[in-house]
Amino acid sequence: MNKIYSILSAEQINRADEFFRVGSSYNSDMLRRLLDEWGVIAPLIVSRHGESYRIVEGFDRFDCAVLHGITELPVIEVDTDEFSCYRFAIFNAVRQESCDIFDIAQALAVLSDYFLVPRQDIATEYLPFFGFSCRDKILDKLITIHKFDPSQKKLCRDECIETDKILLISDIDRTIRNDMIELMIELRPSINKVKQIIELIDEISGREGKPPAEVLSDPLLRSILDDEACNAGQKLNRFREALYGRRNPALSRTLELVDRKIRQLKLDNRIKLIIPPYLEGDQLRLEAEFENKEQLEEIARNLLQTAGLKSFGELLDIIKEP
Amino acid sequence: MTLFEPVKILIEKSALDLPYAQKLLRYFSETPVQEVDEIQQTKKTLHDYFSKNVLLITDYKGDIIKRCPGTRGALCCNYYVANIINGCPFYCTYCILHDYINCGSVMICANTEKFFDELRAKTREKFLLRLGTGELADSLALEPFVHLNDELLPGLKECKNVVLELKTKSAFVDSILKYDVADKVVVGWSVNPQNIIDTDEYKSASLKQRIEAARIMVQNGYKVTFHFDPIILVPDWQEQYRAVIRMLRDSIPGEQVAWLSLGGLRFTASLRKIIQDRFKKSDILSYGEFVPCPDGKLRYFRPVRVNMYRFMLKEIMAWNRSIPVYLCMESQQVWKQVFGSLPLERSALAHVYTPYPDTDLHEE
Repeated sequence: MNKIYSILSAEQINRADEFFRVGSSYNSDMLRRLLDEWGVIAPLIVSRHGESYRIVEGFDRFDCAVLHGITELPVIEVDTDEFSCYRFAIFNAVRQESCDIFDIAQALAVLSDYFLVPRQDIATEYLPFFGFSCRDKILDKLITIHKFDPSQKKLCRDECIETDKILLISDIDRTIRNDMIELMIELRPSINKVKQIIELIDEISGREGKPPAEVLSDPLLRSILDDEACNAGQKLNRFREALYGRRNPALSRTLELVDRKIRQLKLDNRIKLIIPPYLEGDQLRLEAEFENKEQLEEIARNLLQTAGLKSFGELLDIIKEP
Repeated sequence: MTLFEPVKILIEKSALDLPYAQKLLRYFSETPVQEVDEIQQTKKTLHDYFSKNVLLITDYKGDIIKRCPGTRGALCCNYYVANIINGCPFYCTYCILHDYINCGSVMICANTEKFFDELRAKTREKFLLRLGTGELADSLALEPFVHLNDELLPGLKECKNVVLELKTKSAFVDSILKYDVADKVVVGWSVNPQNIIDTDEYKSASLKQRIEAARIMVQNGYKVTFHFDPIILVPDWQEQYRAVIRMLRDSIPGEQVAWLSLGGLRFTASLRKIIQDRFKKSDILSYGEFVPCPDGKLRYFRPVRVNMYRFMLKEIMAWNRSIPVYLCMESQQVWKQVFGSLPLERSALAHVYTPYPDTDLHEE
């Protein structure tokens, strides 16, 4: 590959052509300060394209230089094909850590649709380079992410939604993607909670034969989100509980009944009655805290009283045959 | 496209001279072969993209016959598994092999003599060893391609106190009928309503084909087994499963059913993720209510499971009261709720649940 070091006037460079731009702008303030002090020292990488030049690397430097009134820039003109230039742009963007997930999805789309790189090569060669495992599933998700609406991409970027969460919402039904993005912005759920919410919506949708958007438009869910008396954490918990209850009506009803029966026992607060998780098993456990003989005797009396209560018998019956 | 068409064979060098390995190479004479030092090491390096449709032939060094590991908190039915084949060409949504054998290839242990050595060492007088090859594979799905029955059944004839269960979702029974092994072999079918087979048991035989194959076996003097496992609580599940049981009743005399198992849909958290990722069109995770159980698997909520088993049991008893029915991977609590007693207290199953008088087999 020929490389020619030269000086070009800014006008010779077609700044509007961003074909080789991979990744977003980085810290321009720092760049501006460097330019104040040093001027443009590192040459831009360019390639000839018709009568003008395309930037392969150095978009931010070019912009800052022009803002500073610099009219001539040092460049390295590379005489090579578009594909090599694009690969260089990718590697450079990864090196500068200037790619977010949408940039990566965009780059993979260019490799696939413009350069016609086979899917398998993209998975095995490029995905690991961007820090992903080389799996079909990830590639499918990234292809979908590339197709997000511009407004969705902007919202995710502006609100700094984490990469893992964007990957999670990539394969949900399109009709609820906006709702999920808004939910992630407003309630700030952890990745596991996002996952749980998506699973619940999906399962309710399958079970009730309703589109996911209809599940999410449930007035109860809406009222939780609109409740100004609750903070984000409280809303999130209530939102998840409402979905869980709808997904698991029998289980929720039974566990609620068990809770009610335990409350009716009015156990001494030093005694904890532990039921088998999800009623899988018939062994109950007791935990008691005491410091002396008198306290132990008091607990024993309380337990004896409890054993005679009707509610206790009912609780045992529920656990035996829910 | 055929059910099994390997694009490549990897064979362990130490397996090259084994007679069954030689036969396998002949069966797949058009397929490129690569010799490797150790299959287990090679398997780890197989990439997602390249592992599918690879046949691995090994001279397996570990135990081929093992006690079924069962599951924590469940009653053990003293079943033994012979993992001669690992991998399955069927593609069932709920199959644990997606999680367990993650490289997607099929591995065959070509040292079948070792299988017989282990079997002879492990059988006991007056006790029947129930052995199956269907834990990490479908016992018969690959039979038209790998002809394993030709290696196992003649030798099995000479073995005492053992019954081999060939558990399948296929209808490939012809190769069994070549041998007179009705006293040593039972053929078992996993059964589900046809619409579940259509949506969640890709590439497997239809319900009618499975029942017809069972009928042929019975006609030839063989006992058969059926496994309603997993039972999936799709809408109208009662009508659908009742219809399956009636189809069985119309074709198979209950006396010829050696045993029948019931098991609800269950899965690990990692299998759940695989189902969600790979089988987006499947709704099986949407029906019923799942709870985590002591063994870490998710199962239908207990009262739902108990009702499900009670319904199935009632329908099966209406077919034939003498069929030995057992629950697969269920707790004492569920057994008591469904049957009113534990298997050891039930004469039809007592011999199955009596611990096998074993020594070396019981180590995990």
